[in-house]
Amino acid sequence: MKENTATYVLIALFLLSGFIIKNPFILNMVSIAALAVIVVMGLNLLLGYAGQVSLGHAGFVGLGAYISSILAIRFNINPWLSILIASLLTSVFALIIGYPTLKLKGHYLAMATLAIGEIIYIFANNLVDLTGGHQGLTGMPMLSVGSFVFDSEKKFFFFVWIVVFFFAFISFRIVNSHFGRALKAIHEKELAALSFGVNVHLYKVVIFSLSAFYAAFAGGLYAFYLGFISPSSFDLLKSIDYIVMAFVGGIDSIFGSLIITVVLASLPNIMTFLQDYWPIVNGLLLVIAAMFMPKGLGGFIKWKRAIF
Amino acid sequence: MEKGDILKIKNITKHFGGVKAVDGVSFSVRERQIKALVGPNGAGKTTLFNIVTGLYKADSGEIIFKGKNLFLYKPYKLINLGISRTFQNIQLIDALTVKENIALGLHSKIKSNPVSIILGLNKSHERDVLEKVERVCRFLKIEDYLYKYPNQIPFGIKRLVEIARALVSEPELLLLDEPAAGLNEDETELLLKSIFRIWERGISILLIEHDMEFVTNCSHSIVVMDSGKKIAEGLPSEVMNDYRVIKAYMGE
Amino acid sequence: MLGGMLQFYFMSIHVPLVASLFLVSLIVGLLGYIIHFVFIKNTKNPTELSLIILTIGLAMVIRGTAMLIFGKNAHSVGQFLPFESVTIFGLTFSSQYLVVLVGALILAGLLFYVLNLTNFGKVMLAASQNPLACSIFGIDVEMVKSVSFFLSGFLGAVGGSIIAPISFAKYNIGLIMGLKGFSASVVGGFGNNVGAIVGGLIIGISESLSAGYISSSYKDAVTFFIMILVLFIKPSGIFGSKDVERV
Repeated sequence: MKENTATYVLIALFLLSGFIIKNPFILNMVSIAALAVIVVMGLNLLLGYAGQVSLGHAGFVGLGAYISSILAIRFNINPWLSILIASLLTSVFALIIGYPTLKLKGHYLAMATLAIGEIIYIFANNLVDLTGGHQGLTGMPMLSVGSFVFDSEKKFFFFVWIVVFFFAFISFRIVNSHFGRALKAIHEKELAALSFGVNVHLYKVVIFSLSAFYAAFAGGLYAFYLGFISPSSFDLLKSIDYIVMAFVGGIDSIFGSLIITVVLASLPNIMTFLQDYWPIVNGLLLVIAAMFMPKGLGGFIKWKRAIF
Repeated sequence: MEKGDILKIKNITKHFGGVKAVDGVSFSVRERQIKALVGPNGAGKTTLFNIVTGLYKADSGEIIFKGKNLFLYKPYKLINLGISRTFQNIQLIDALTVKENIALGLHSKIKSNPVSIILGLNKSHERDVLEKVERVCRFLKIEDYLYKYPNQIPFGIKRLVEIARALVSEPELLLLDEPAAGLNEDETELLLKSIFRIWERGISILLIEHDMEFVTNCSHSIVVMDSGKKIAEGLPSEVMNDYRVIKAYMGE
Repeated sequence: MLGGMLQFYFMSIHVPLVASLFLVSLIVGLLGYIIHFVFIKNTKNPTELSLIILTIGLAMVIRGTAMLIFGKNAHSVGQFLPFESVTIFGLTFSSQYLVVLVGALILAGLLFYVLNLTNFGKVMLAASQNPLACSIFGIDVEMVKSVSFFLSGFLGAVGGSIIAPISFAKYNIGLIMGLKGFSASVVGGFGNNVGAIVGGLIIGISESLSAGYISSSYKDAVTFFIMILVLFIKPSGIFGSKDVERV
């Protein structure tokens, strides 16, 4: 319960920082990080509450970005509506993929999502007529409400952190409901969950699909904010980035993963000279977290708090 | 006799690879009866339990609960029929408080939909849940531990929390898998009393145990299993004699 | 991937072919052993999830290191046989395909022998099915696991080095190749040697056919699509038993 408050306070601090920070580079960076936070919050539900790994979440982000952009460009559909449609389609897609694979042992979903991510990447690269191929896609209209257009870094910054707040709110409501209780049971003691009336398979599928919704929604916002998308933003390495953020931040801690995500999403932009070392750093972070901090930094903080 | 059976296990067989874990076992639990399933380790008791609760599929045989064929139901539906269980190796959820762990037992009774979860319209359900959880905790005298986590409570209490979680849904048949394992004398005494008080409320009980002492003290009827087969069934006093004979025969 | 990269390295410093093939496999095999011995064994809370995460992390470290050492470019690796191409039944193809074919057959035969006909193979199967029972009967399950990690590293490296002249050696080919291997296992059915070969053939042939009839850019997509299709229809694969499914 305390974590809810801490997270909301943190998001509020980010919102307030929008009044202080003038530098558009930083505002842009933290906005992009906020989009990653939305993806990671969705991934958190999957990792932390269903105990499953998705190696294709960047693919879902991409699916959201491409579908919404194409809907808006080709069919002149309102950007908001196209983001919503794209997110719903992506979550239905995840539902279809998750239904057979989530009946199987854990590494099947990891491998199937890895394959899905690759397939999406291949299509984004090769359906040139629709996606612009590796050159990317442009021409999305700007997001607007009435005559208010989100045309500056600052406006989008405020907007995106409000969206983060909204998704965090949904996550907390789910996690603290009886549904969340059942998910925690699934993660730890699947057979016990089954014996007490939890439809384990259905719940896993639902949470996977929901996490794909989060990812696709962030992808849609990303597309309309930048006005440009290309396949390289949605490749396997990005999927692994999201896993690092979620896992190191703490798979059942929204607060922890929020901090870690903002840090890890921003660092590569600040320390560009380290570019070639990021895969190794990411890998090491995962190794250390998996070996010594199974609950990630968030869990580590909670554990410290329990001692003192 | 036929009429009063709440659970009928008919000719159940289960293989694991080449090993017959359960081999043509049949017996019944009558209404308001405490029935014990005893036997050495590896006799197939827990396997049989897992078949009754749908976690394993039997190769052949039938299980009838109140006239319904249990094999037609998904494992997570069984609790709605009125069957509930505990586990030999404690299966409490470490991330949940005792209260939430017990509330898990009521999961299937909570009717809700995604919209009401997100809008937070489940408050009244949760009040109901809390009330029932508190009631069952008072019944088992563990109300002091409601807001503790499983790793903060003694082992004996964990066993009782497991029982509370199984009991909170008000089942008609309670399956207890080695409820006394790892308990000290006082805790065993307390457990015995609790089992009788549960029985007094009209609940039928099927329990696994390998402590014969405990079983003869608390059950109305005993089934003995060894190497997957039922080798004896009857009143505790009868079976005790048989059991000694068998034990002597097997040279234990 | 490492197999191919190391093969490239050893051949570039003029280590003889057979020696380098052996060295490469040994090194990667040892790496597999070390991964189990140092990392997996010492994981505090070895759940399915944390082990998957751990191996992803290690893969990233290895891949990142390979990229730093060998660079981002694809390296060509010389063919193993002295002649460029062979002609059989009027079909002309690179001689390396012959090496791959023969190599795969030898490895499959060896693996079949070790797993099914030697005592150690039986121990390995037993340890995977019931580790507890094995340790009761005095089998060092951890040792068996270490050896199987060595073997899988070893085999992976042999595969990587003999395919390198065809596929080129590049720091990032490993994961996709691994996924193709996994796809083949899924299609054929896990834990079944015939299945692995049939699965591999199905994946390989459909990849070539789709490259020919659809477009070579989509061949990987077709492979993965087939895997997902099999997961839908028969998750245990063509020859598999049912033990992949949860209760």
